[in-house]
Amino acid sequence: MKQNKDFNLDEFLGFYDSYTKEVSKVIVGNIDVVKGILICLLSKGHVLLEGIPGIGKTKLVQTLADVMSLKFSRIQFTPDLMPSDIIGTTILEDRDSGEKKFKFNYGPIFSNIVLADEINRATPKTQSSLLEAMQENSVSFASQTYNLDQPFIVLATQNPIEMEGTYSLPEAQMDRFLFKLIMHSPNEEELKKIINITTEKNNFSLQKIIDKEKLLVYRDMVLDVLVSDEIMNFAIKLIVSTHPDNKNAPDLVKEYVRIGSSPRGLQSLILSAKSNALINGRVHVSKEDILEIFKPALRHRVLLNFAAEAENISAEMILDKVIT
Amino acid sequence: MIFNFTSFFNKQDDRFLNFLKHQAKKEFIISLFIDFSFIASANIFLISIISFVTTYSISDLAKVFFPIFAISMIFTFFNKKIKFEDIAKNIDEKKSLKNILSTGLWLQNSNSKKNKYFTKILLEEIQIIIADLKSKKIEDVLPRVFMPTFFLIFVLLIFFSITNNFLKFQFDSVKANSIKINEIKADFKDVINSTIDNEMKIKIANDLKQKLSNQKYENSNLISDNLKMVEKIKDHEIYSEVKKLLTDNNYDEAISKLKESITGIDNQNKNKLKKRDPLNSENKSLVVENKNDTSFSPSLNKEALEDVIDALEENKDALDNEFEANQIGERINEWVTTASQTDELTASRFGASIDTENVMPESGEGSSRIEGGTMFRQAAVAQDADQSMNGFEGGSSSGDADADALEGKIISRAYTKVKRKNFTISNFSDNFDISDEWVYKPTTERILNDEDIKASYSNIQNQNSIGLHENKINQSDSFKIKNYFLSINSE
Repeated sequence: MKQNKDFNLDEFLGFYDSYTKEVSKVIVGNIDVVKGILICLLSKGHVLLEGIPGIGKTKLVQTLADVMSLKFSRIQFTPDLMPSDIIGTTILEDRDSGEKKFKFNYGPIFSNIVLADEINRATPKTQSSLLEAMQENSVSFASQTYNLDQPFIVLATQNPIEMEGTYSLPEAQMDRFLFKLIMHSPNEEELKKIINITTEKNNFSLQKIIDKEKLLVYRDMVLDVLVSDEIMNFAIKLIVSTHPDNKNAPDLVKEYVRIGSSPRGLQSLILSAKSNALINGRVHVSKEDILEIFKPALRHRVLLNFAAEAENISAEMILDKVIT
Repeated sequence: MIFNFTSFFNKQDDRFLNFLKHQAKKEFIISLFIDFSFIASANIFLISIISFVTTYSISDLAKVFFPIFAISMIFTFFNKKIKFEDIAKNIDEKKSLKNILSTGLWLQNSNSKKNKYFTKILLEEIQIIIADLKSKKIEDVLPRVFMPTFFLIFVLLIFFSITNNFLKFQFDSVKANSIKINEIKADFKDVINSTIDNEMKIKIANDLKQKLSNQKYENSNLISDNLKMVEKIKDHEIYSEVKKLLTDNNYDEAISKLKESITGIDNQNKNKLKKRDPLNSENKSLVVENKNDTSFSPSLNKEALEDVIDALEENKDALDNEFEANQIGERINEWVTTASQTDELTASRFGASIDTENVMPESGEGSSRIEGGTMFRQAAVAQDADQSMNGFEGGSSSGDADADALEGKIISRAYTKVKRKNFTISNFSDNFDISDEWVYKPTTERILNDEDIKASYSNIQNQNSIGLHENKINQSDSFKIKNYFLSINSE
């Protein structure tokens, strides 16, 4: 049995408080997105951030990297971006001894926090270069496999309004993101705060609140959070309800869903519910934990048919129906 | 883990499980009460429905359904299982505990090893919750609450009043029968006075007849059941005497004999007690001994006698109902026969429309307004008269008798006879002629009938010579009189 003496629940809750406090110095509002990113970090998942331009997607990721003592890199996705620009490439190195040898030049993916900015602007070939890294936490190049440093999290951003010159993410890649988080436009009060923070001289500085080792301990402890059979069955029932061929599925699902959630969706649901329970100060998962992360975990895994598109039915609406 | 009837006295080792067991016990009792109410209600519902659609009495059905109820309850008791998981889940939901108890229970039953630190935290939290919940009422802890007490009492009252007090229901059934017979009587009156066509009237009358025979059947069942009660006093000396009186239908005498016997038993009892000194302990023991002795059980005898008296009094009422039902039955029969023949004649002779009021005996006034088809009218009345005169049963021609019967008065055949005799005629002369007002067309048959009427009139004149000189009949009633005489002489 695994027992980590370094873990203390109160200390963990203290970390969460500090995290929200530090991030909120820069990011105004979108608390659920801030929490969602931490859940993904603790659950060894990756995040797809969606929001209109200028809403603070990139800033949020940068702030996250700032408050944690983690290596951060940013990749701006463009149509001419090549896989080697992400993974890295081999170069011929001239040594002092006159010997020439191929050397692997590590790409920006070899970081703890990778910001894949505007991921849908790159070609599918380049987008796929992230697949192995996201799933296996390793990169293969020229018959060599390179392990990525842990913790490793990809935070990809995409713009939902500009469709021209973009390449929608393939379903297989979408499924690899633990959460799809949507950043909402700030309200009047939040806008006022944003203006104050960004257009005036500010003397605040972000503090590093956690180191890599501690974060790994927390990630490890998340796996030990208790999930009873009742909760497990509840989660399974929810996942099965997204399948259009399931006879107990809501009519909306049967009519508008093409493909429901994969088993990976259930894994994501349980794992992120565990992290959520811990963040909520509990060592066991409750139904509330599941429901809270249900939509972020499944909104990109439920694929709708043409009828849904024609009738403007969104995945959110489908998931709302499944919950009720 | 489950809780059932065998778990009542088992104690759980763990404090948490013990708490759940305690709650499960409460839930077991509550759900048993709910099942009891549900089964009782279902039984009552079925009894009501069956007694409504069939001829079975409520008391008979109660005798069948009570064992079903008892067996269902026993079955429910021995098969009821309350899952600890359900209890934990219910408490979690009710108290918004975010699934902590169900997770705790799962942890208890789980074989795989869990993180000790997390387990410890969870169980500590559960202990705090248990301590808090123990001080609360069951309604606060469990989501299931007792049914409203008044509803439960209501259901129980209905159920026990059916099963244990069926004699009362028998009495009620006598009253109910009486009410139903009166209803049929009123319905019949409405039918013959209504303006619907004759065919429909006959159909409704036949339905009423069927209803009446059902009532009579129920009534006779009740009477025979009550007569069986007399067997209760089989060993009593008065039994043979009462039986003989009942064979002669002398209920009053039988009841008074039984009452006398009760008075006799009371007096005998008083005398015996007077002879004993209540302070003497020897006598006290004698009293106790006598209580156990069946030969000295006046209360037992008295109770049986009282039951028989009640049954016989009910039978008296039931017999009255039967008599009344017979009367109504006769009326309906006669009316249906007449009306049917009227229809047949209409169809065969003229096919002319006729106001059904003219053919039917009109209660009270007995007017005869004919719009067409005089000959048919004569024939119809003649048929009516056949029935009236054969056996002197009082047919449609006795309009007053009909009216009385329909008003609710009990009309005997003798009464009808007297009414006919008292039918006085005056101001009729030898050259009495049938008015053209109600004659549509004099035919050969009609002329012959006129001759008959005149002949019969002279006969009646001889028989009721006193009545003929009395001026008691209004000219407006002349139609009634004409009808009467037509019917007599139609042969």
